[in-house]
Amino acid sequence: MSPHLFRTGALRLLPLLAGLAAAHAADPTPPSAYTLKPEPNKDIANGKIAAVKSEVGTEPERYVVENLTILQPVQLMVLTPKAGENLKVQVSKHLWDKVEQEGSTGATGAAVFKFRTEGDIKIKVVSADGESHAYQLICWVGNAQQPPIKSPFVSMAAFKKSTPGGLSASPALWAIVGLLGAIVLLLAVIVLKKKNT
Amino acid sequence: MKARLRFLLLAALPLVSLGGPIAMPFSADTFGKVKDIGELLQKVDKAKDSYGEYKGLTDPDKTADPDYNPPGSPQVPSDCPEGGQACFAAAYEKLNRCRTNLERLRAVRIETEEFYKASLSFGDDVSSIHGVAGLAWQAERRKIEASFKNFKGIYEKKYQELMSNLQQTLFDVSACEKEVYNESDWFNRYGFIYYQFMESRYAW
Repeated sequence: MSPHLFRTGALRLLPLLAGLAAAHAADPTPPSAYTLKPEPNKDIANGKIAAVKSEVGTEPERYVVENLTILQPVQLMVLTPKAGENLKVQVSKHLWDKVEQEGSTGATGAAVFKFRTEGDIKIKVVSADGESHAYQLICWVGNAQQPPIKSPFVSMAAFKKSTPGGLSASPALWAIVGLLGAIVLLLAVIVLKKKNT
Repeated sequence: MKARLRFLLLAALPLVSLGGPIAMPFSADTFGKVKDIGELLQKVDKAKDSYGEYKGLTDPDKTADPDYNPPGSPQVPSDCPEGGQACFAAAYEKLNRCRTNLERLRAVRIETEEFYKASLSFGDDVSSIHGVAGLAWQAERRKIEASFKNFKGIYEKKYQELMSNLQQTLFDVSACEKEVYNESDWFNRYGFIYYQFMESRYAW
């Protein structure tokens, strides 16, 4: 099978991305975003990882992670040096304004998100208390994992047991047949009566 | 302690990035001091066992999650349901590959459909606010619709290819039934039920 359709989300979404870019072009203030590119790392046995550091105030900083598949576990972490340095972190899918998950670093100094998704994600980090705070953003994307694939097959014996053939095995069917018979009989009686009159 | 380690971690690096975010080479030597990272690294090794811990981000993601036993799945009788015989094992492996590819195709379709809807919704909203841009948007909207139609064509082609593979694989199972158990015409008696179910599940 040619796997090209699955190889990269960019391929399948390219024409549509162009469309969305056009839509953004109609927006007077399109947000710019930093693309996180998780890479394999010797310290990471499974999957890929990307890390950035920055400082943010009231002007949000934005990130995108592209070409994820629903089979890959994703973990995002935003860390501040101290607990209480409150950053708001939002995770969106297609539109920045449609937030799917939200958290803050406030209480623990860390905001952690775990999920799986198909396609791209958008991450927005902004100060929640109006002050600038340094932070690190780490994005781990695990190897694709298949859930167990249940076999559709059952033994012949089990199949015959679960789907016994014939009307004799189904009282419900007998009831329906009886009901239909009664209706036909009733109609016949009505027709005959009409003919006699 | 944890906060102090975080501070040391960040203090060791230039705190302020003048040009926005700066990519950092990830190193457990640096990051491993922080409890959260330590936990992450431990979990990374066990990720195989924690598939269910990571849920779909959006509702469409939850729908796109592979489901190999969806409601209405028929039970297909076989003389070798566990695939113990070599002939069956090979056919079942091929069948499972077909099933995973079809589920990938379904996930791509769901995501692309969502992206398409979001694109149109975003453009329509913005163009209703900015009148002049709205005129340009109508032209772009048609392009997006054409692109989506094109994607549907690609999907259909891939769907036909994968369904053809699935049918061939069920023929292989049928041949095994005949060869090993002298069960003649297995596909027409049983296999087609499964084929029809799959045909309807992945059709667009």
